[in-house]
Amino acid sequence: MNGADFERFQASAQGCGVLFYYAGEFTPPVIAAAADSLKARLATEDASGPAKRKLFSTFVEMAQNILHYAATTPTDDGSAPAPRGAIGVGREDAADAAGHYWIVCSNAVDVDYVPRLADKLNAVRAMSLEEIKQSYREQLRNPTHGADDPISKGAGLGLLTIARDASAPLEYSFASTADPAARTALFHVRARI
Amino acid sequence: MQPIKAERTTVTPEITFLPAESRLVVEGECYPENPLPFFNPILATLKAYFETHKPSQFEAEMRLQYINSASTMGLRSLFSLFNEAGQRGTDVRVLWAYDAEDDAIEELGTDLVEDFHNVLLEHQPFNA
Repeated sequence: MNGADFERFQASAQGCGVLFYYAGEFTPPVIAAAADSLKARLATEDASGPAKRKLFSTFVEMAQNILHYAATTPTDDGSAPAPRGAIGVGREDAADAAGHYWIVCSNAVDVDYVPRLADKLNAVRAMSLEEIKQSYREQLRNPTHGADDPISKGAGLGLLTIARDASAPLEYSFASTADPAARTALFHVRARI
Repeated sequence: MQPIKAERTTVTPEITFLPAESRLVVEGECYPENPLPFFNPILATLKAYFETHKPSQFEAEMRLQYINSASTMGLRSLFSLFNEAGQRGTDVRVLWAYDAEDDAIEELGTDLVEDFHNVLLEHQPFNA
């Protein structure tokens, strides 16, 4: 990338209102450091305290989802590969979204999980804020979570936490990866804060 | 029983447990990707404390600026211990302090005690 390429890259990022972007391995120390730098970046933004808190919370939930659920490609030497993904945060530029922020994450998922993920996202998308909060309260009181759900590793609260902080229904999409033989799809989730 | 003093880290809050004063203070942010190594020692110590000391009263002061969803289950376990102590006769009071603008933490306090009738939760909003 030469200077001119870099200017085009920067102009593109500015056009999308990008404030923060990370792509690469998601490990606990990387997430903690990235969360810290996002917080410092948001401190200079002229946004409300609740908007900053919601962006930070959504970032942590998205990052920990990537850490726990991103499909990984086996390494040549057989060691455990680190999960990879990307998260971007920026200002909405559309006139009808003034004052709002966007946060998007992407990672690879096993194609077998696509229907299950779509069902989960669709269920949350259909909920009102009060229904999201009610579902959250039920999950919080459900200590057996995990026993009946062999795939979920968390408390089952992450997606509800992201949805609760969003000011519009979550958007999501799946895309094919470049490798047609791959058993993975690219999964994106977008929240408007 | 020995007091606990855990320093605050980027992803875990400061914890101070003073058995002589029947008092626990939790202050900071809590977002470890795996909450178990953080919560389990505290839960084990408090469980032993309530069972062996049977204090007449206990106060927990919780000042959380942020908590991730995975850690809320650890808090739920902590409140469950408080409730069990309450059932055995301890007068348990939780001071739940939060930024007045932070309705997520405010509502979490209410949600955590929803079924726990032996824990008295006192909301204390503050202005950051």
